[in-house]
Amino acid sequence: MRLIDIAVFLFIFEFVLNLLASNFASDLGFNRNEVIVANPGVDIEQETQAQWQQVQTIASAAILMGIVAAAFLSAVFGQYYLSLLLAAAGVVINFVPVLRQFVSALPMLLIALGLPPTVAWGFYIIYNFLLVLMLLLWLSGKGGY
Amino acid sequence: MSGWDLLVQGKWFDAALYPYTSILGSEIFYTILLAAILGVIYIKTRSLEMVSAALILGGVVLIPLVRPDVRVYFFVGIAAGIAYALYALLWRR
Repeated sequence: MRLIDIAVFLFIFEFVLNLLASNFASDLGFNRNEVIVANPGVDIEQETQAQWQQVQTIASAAILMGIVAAAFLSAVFGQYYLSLLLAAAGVVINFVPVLRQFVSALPMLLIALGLPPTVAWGFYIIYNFLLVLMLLLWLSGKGGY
Repeated sequence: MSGWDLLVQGKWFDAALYPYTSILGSEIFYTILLAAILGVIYIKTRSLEMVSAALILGGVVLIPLVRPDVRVYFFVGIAAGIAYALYALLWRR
C-alpha cells in the first residue's frame, strides 16, 4: 500500500464524516451546539460566536501568509505560482463560511466521543497535516516505496 | 420491565434479546452483535467491500436501538463503511 492510498482513504473518510455530521448530527442527538460547550455556565451563543471568530482570525492569517508565500515564490520562480496560489486563496476566501462549518465536524465528533477539546483539535491538526504531507509526497513523485 | 412482560405485550424481538441486554447492557450487546456479524461476513466472503456494506446497514439498523450518547460510535462506523466503499469504488485498483 502506497502513502497516496492512505491519503485518499483519509480524505474520503473525513469528507464522508463531515458530510454526515453536518446533515445528521442534530437528528442523532449529538448536535454541534451541545458538543461545542466545553465550559458549563458560559452562554452557548457567546461561546460559539467566540470560537467562530477565532477560526475566522486563523483563516484570515493563513490566507495572508499564503499571499506572502505566493509573493516570495513568484519572486523566485516567476508568475506561475503567484497566479496559482492567488486563485487557490480566492476559492478559500469564497468558501470560508462553508468551510468553517464543514471542517469543524471531525473535532466536534471527537469531543462527542469523550476526548478533551485540546486533544481533539490536536488529533485533527495531525490528521490533516499527514494528509497534506502524503499528497505533497505523491505530487513530488516520492509517494510510493 | 421483565422479559415476561415484554413477551406478554407482544414485543417478541425485545423479549428474546432481554436476557442479553439486561446483563450486558444494550450498547455492549449490540456492539458485540455488530462485530460478530462483520466477522462472520468477512470469514465467509473474505471481502472488505461486503464488510463495509454490512457496517453501513448494521449501523443504520442498530443506531435507533442504542442510547443517544453511544450513537456517535455507530455513526463513525457508518462513516468508515461509506468511506471504504467509496475508496474501493473510486481509487483501489
